[in-house]
Amino acid sequence: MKKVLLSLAVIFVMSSFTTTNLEKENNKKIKVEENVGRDCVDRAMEWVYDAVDAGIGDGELNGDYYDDYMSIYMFYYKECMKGFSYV
Amino acid sequence: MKKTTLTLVLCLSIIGYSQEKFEGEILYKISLNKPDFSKLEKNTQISKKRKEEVKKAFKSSKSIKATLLFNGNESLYSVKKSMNNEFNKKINFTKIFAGNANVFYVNPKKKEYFYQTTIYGESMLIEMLQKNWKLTQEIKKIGGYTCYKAIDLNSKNHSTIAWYAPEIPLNFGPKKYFGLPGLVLELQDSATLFSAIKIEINTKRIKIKRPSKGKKLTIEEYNELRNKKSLFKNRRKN
Repeated sequence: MKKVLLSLAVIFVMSSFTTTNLEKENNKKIKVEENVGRDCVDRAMEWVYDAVDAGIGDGELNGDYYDDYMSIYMFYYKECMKGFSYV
Repeated sequence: MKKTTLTLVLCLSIIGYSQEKFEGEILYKISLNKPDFSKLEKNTQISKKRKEEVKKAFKSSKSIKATLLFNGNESLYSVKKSMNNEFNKKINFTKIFAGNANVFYVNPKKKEYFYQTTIYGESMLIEMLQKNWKLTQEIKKIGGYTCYKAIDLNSKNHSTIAWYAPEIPLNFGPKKYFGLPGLVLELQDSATLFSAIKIEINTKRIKIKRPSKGKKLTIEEYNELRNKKSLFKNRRKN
């Protein structure tokens, strides 16, 4: 009986250890993904600023050309995210 | 009395007919304004490699075509789809500033002015406001039509200029530019130049499909939504 209890305890400790490691891995993955997402936001914004600096549109990001600037942003954001592989 | 009534009916029919008789299609060629890279060149925080990448992207943005379909009551403007796959994969700034995948609909009789777009994955119908046009007496010929110059007083530095043809007495034009006493055949704004390269009037029957898919938003509601998302808050520090 003691042996069975001991085995059960060992299995429990082992499994909780594995779960903790798995959680850590997952959290790490999410963090990396978040960082890349953030990086892609910044990169996409750079392209919007490039268009503004080049004098394309009126330069008012929230003005008449909002949709156009947003389209530039979305294109580069999607492109950036497509190129990302964290596996 | 009978004669007067008959004449009146005849006149009204002629006016009604002249309004209704205009239907057709305008093909616009749209080109991007020449980009000014002086700010980019001066920015020391941007690498030389990236500067080249930016220049290449703008320079490879070729001119595109768009159509304006219209009849006496309504118009529909959209950018022509390209069959070239490579073209579709790359970014084309001209296409974006010409209206991209959005569809612009105007119906003055029903007071409907909106464009269909996709925002955050959702289809929406966004209200458009008429520009604050100042009509001038300056004229030029476009495609055989005498066109008058109009300036959008709300545009930055009054940079938006339209050339409209009163001979085609319809209030339509490309993208969000409508409300003039004649069809817009050329338009210069701070991003692009729209030039009518083919003017077809009364050569075929035009059927316009009013965009209906999507949630309707007024300008105020759209601005509120944009403010909530507040993506474009900060400017780049040079």
